[in-house]
Formats: sequence, C-alpha cells, structure tokens
Amino acid sequence: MGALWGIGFQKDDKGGYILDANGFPISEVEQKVLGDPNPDWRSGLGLNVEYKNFKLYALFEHSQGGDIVDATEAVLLDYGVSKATGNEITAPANLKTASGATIMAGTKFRGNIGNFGGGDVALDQSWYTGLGGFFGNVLEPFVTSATWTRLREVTISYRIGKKYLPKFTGLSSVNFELSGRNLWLNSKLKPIDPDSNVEGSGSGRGIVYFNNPGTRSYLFTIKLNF
Amino acid sequence: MKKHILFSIFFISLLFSSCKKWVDDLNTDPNNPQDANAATMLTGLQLADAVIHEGELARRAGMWCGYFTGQLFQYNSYQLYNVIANDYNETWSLLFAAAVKNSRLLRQKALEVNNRRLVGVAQVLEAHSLGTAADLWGDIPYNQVFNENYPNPAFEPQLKIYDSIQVLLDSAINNLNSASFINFANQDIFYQGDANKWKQAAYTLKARYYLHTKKYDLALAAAQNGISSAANNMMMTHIDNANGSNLYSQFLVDERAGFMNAAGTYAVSIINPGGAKYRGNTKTNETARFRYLYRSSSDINYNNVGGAFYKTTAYPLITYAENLLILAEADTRMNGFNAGLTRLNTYRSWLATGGHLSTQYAIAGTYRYDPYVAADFATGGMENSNNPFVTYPLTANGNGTATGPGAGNITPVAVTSTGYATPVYRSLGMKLIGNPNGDSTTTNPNWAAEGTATTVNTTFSGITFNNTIRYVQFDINTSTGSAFAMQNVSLPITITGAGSLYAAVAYSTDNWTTFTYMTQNGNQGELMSSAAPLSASLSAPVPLIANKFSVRVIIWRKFASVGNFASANIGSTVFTLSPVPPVASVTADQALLREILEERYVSFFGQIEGFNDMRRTQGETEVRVPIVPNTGNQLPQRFLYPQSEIDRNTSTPNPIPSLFTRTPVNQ
Repeated sequence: MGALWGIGFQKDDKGGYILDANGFPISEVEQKVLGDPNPDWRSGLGLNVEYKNFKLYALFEHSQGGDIVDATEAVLLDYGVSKATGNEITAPANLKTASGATIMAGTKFRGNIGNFGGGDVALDQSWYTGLGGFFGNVLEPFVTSATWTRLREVTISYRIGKKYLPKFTGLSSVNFELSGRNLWLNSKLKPIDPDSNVEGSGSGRGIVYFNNPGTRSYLFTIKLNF
Repeated sequence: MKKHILFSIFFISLLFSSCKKWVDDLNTDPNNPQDANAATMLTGLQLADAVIHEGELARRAGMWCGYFTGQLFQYNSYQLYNVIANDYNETWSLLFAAAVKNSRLLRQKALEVNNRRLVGVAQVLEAHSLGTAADLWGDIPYNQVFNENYPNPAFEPQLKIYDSIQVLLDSAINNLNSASFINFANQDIFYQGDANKWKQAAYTLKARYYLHTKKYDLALAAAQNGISSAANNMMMTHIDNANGSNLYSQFLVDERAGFMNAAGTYAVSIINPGGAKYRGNTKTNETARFRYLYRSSSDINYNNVGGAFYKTTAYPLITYAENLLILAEADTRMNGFNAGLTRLNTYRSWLATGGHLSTQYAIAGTYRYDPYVAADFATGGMENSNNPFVTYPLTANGNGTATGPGAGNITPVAVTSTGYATPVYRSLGMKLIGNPNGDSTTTNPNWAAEGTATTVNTTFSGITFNNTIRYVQFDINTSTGSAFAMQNVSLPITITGAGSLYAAVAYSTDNWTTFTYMTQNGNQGELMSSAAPLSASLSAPVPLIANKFSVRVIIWRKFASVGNFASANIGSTVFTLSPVPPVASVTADQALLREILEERYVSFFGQIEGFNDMRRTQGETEVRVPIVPNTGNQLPQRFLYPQSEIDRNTSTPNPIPSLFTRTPVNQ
C-alpha cells in the first residue's frame, strides 16, 4: 500500500533532464509519485540437512522489487560527511559548478564530476548543499531498488546420544547448537537494511532516514534432554 | 425476588442518573474552550496577524530582496530559490485558518452583539493579512473561503482582491466611526481599543494597497488620514519570555541559530558606514541606524538590548514611518519634485529626532538627517552623481574595495572563483602566452596559473627571445559571462635589461580578433629603460561594454633575435569598472524618487514591504533599488501556492505559476 511521494527533477519528453545554464538539472515544485515501496513478491527458501548426528538448517529470504528512498545519504551529502563528498579530485577540464562558478582545469576541488546530459560538471559544495542534497528537496535521485536477498538464519547442531552419556546423569541426549541470524545481506542499498522501517512498526515503509540497522545475532545453545 | 428486582431497578436508575452527571462535561476541557465571545477572540486574531507579518513570511521575503542571506539547510535552499510547493503549507494555513477564518467568525459574533467598532477592527486585520497574501501569491481565494457551499474555493484575480480589500477597509472605517461598541480595550494588544488609532491604521493600509496597485493619487489621498504619529504605530510588543519574544530573536537565537544572517546583502552595503556602497553623505549619517539594525557588518541585531530584533523589541506592523514614506513617494509621482522633496524632508526631520531608533541607539552624533535641497538632486549633486564609474584597484582576487565618488553605484556581478567568495570582479591571473617555440620560461614561477590568485604588481624576468614577440595577458570578466563596462585603465610598466627592449600594451574585447594599442606610440611600441617607465592608459570616451576585457603587455627585442632581459614590472594597475548599464546621472525628479525608494528600502528593513517594493518598481531601472538576484538572472516574483492547497482545492491553478512569473499587478 502507499507510494513514495516527493519532488523530482524537470524532464523533457524523452526523459532527459532539462538543464540550467550551468548544465545542472532543475527542481520541480509540485510533488509526484517517485516510487512504490511495496515489493512485487517475497519468498523464503528453507534448507534442512541431517547427517549422522549433525543437523544443518538454513533459511534464505528474498524480496523482489519495490523502491526505497535513501534520505540518510541525502542528508550526509548535504552535511558534507558522506564518503562521496570526501573525494578530492583535479578538474580535467574547466568545469561549471551549480553556483555558476568555473573550476579551472588542473585545479583541485572537493566533490565529484557529474554529467546530467549537458557535459561534465563539478559536483561540489554548492551542488550538495543545494539541489544535490537533502535540503534541496529533490529526493528523486535517492530512490533505489529495494530488492534484497538475505541469509536469515543458519543453525548447525550436533547431538550426543544416550549411549555416549554416563548413566548416572540420567540424560537421554545432549544437543550443541550454533546459530546465527542475518548473517548475509545482498542489496543495492548499503549498508542499510532495506527491510528496516523508519517508523518502527508504523506504515512509513520505503524510507531510510537514519534507521537502525537490522540486528545480527549469534547463539550458542546446549540442550540437555532427560 | 421482587424486592431484589425493585432494588436493582432503583440502583440501576441511580447509577444512570449519577453517571449522566459524572460524564456530562467529560468531553469539555475547561483548559481548551470550544467557543469564545468576539472580544476574547480578538487577541488570538492579532497574534496571528503579527506572526504572519513578523515571522517566516518576512524572513523569506527578506532573503529575496537583499535584507538577509539564508545560510544553512532549508534557508540555503530558499536563498538559492530552490523552493517547492510544500514549503508554503504552514504560512498559507496561518493566513487563511488563523487570520481570515477567525476574522470572519469574530465579525459575525461581534455583529450579533452589535459591537460595530470591533467588527471594524477585525476588518482591518483581515485586510492586512489578505493584502499580504495577495502581495505574495497574486490570485488567491477570497469570497468563497470558509463557506461550506464551496469545497473548492475559486482563486480570484489579484486586482480584484485589492479592490475587495479597499471596500473592506472602507467598511472598517465606517464601523470604527460607529458609536455602538462594547469595550474591548483589555483584549486589544495593538491599540487598547482606541478606535481613532485603528482608523488611522486603516487609512495607512488603504494607502499601502493603492501604492501596490500603482494608484498613486488614491494612495496620496488615503495617507492624508493615515497614522499621524509614531505613538499611533501598530506594533507587536514583545516580552522576555520563550514564546513572547521578538520572532526574529526566537528564530535566530532560540530555534535556528546560524540559519540566516545578513552577510553580503545589498542592504548592509548601503547602510553600513564602512560598506562599499554606503548611502551616507554630508547630510546623512546612518551610523546609529546601522548599529540599531545590525550587530555586525554581516548579521542583524538580535542580541543587544534595544536592537531592532532583540527579544524585547517591538516589531512594526503598520507605522507612521510608512505613512510618511507613502506620502513622499506618491506626492513625488503625482505632483513632482518640490512636493516630494518637502515630504522627504518631513520624514528626515522625524528621523533626525531619533525616528524609530530605540533609546539605546539614539546617540547624538551618530545620526544625522539634514534636509535636502533641490541642488542635491541636480546633476552632480550629492544624490545625483554624474560620475558613475568608480576607481577599482584590481588586486589578488580582485578583492579591492570600491572607493571614490560614486562607489555606491557599483553592483558587483558574480565572481569567477573555485571557492565561496564574495562577488567581485576578478582577474583571471597572468600567464605567458605566445610562446610557440617552447622556451624555457614557459613555466616561469613568477606567473600564477590562470584562475589562481595573482597580483597585478608582477615582476617577471629571464624571458628568452627566440625571435618571437612575448606577451603577458590578463583577462577580466565575470563568472556569469555578463557584460560590464570599462572606462579607465592605467598600467605602468618598467623593464630593464640589455639591448633594445620594446614594449607596448594593447587590449581586446573580442578575444584578440581585433585589438587596440593603449600606448602612446601605438603599434610602434616604446623603447624601454628603467629611467623612462612606460605608462599605458585607456580612457574610453564612451565606456567599453564587454563580456571580457583582455590586456596584453607585449615585449620584444628589436635588434637581436635571441637574448633575455633582466626584469619587467607591471606596477599598480587601476581599472575603472562599472556594471552594465553604467549608472549615469538622472533627472532631478528621478534622483529624488530614487532616494525615496532607497529610504523606504532601509526603513522597512525586515518587513515584507521591502520585497513588495522591489517587485513593484523593478521596471523603473533609473530609480529602483538595484537589488540583484541571489543566483541566476531573475528576481523572484511570488511565493508558490502550497502543496496542501494543490492537493485539496481543485481550483488551484494547474500547473502553479513559477516563482519567476510576475503577479498580475506587476506585469
């Protein structure tokens, strides 16, 4: 249910950005649908293997489709604390910045080189504190695929039968179990778990805004059966 | 059993009756009354009116008319005109829900008890708020709002809104004249129930909106009955309390420190006595006003007792000063120079008494507003300089200060810079070119790379002449590529060395497709020696208008094809630059109007009226306050219709007009 609703860049009929005089895209002013936070489908794959006294259980989960907006990254860019804003590069040619200034070829600057369809431009502070960051309002570029695959759980156990156990203990068996949860995650959105929800149990799906990461846990269990 | 049943019935009925008593007023919160009488509603309505004019709308308008600079986060976006419809939800709702809806309800309630004067008061407040809405948004819903028959209230043309507001104010004045009223002095935080002051405020408002619609004759007539003294100002008073203090102070101290200041604004450049375009002269000293408005040359005064935006300083809503300035502008436009000059001097004489300065800032000797005379506005007078060009020493980054007569006339355009520099003209540096033979001196360390800091006082040495003429070139341009005017350049050069070294200086405005020698002997060049430095200068009879001005110092050896020279030095080079169009002297009438508009701009510092004036007078290039866009080449013309209205009211124009679309009254 629901949709991701926000501000995009102005585009022409062919889907290309409409650019300003400096070669940067222009913000729209009215909100529109930017994406669909709902996955197309979800699936799970469980695996149970038993060999002698060993037992292995693994559960894979996959969520296909859906969009998520990475507002955390947008904020970090705006503050200049994202990894992307830490780059220092030398301009290979004269580059325009979002504020209209020119960075001369051979000059070092902090930021990146981008191209919105009108040639290379310098993505520097003026871009990231403007339309290229959170407070520039445009969240469209931060919408990415929410598809993920994860190893939800793995459990390995070993059972010691009655005949190996001293009689006086009265034990019928002892189980040793090692399990881990959320051991592996594959998604475009790193390092945040796209399955996390900014509003906790609320309905604000599809938004990453300084969410807590999913927890990873390891358990070691000893089961004594009498 | 029967007894039990009877008892039960009795008990149940007892229970019911008691319950009813207990729950009867359960849904009534004595702390949040659901209804109030007309007089009680007044205070809330006035509070809404003050928040509308002193709060977010005033700050945003101020960032778009050269009063303030948005620095951080959302305010950085506002500063750069990166706004979206969503940004206006709260202010729109404040205007319509808190002001207009409450006003209409109040009027209805006041009418029921025949409190005519209170009806008039509510009408003045409604006109004030709706007028501001029309100023900022153009067409707005008016007649159909808060009427259940119209779920999608129609947007009415801006000019019709202004007409309706005039009718509303006439009706307000009528009601304020009525003898029938119930005292509301205790609820009235603006005027303590003084109908006469309300009436004056209504007339000044009428004049304000006639001014906005450029009906200067009607503005002049209305202002005659407007606010007659500073004691009758409509002010929002403030107390030293988290929620009761001045809204600028609340915003900049309590809530959003650092979001906004006044760095690099046009306003500070003309008010600051140390500013590049200081408006003071022998008759005018703005020191006190500068200190009252600003805490430094880059921030407004919210932290000093008595400062314009200090927590306990009252905020002006409708004032005597505005009334006097409406009279000055309208009289000048309608009746010419003498009438306008008298009006302006009336205002200046009020300023000379301390005007709106607080006691802390009205320090004798720090302000001066002597009356102007006609000669001050004649060509060459102190308010009508006929020397539009300023001496502009070009230094490292072009960070020189404009000095000399007419320095105030320079409006710098954006700068070519890799950093975040202040907008000034800038030299692109000097480098050796014209060296096709790959001479050893190509990378002479004395010459800075293009785009980096360099001084025009440059020494270079050791150039070998491989049968080639050498030259250094420096370019002056603006980062936007916009044109500027160049009138004078002087450029002293000394060269010492063996042999017959010759030098000449030339300039080009078209990338050397064509060029002109600046030295006296033309393309013959001049024989150089340390005893006879070469001095090149250009004094264009008419200013050169160019996007790029390029100067070359050309050196060659006449009689030997190979060799070098000891050193060459380009002394302090002075360029005289001006933006385009150069500010030339204007007629006395225009000079007077220009001064009045500038006085309005300064007097309304921090009020929405500054943004209104900017848009109203933008076509009058000779007299308007020359505010330049914060970015790009267009001034913003309106606020955007809010997303909340787009989503709920199908009558909202689709698509909504852009930020740069003029409202009808300014088209």
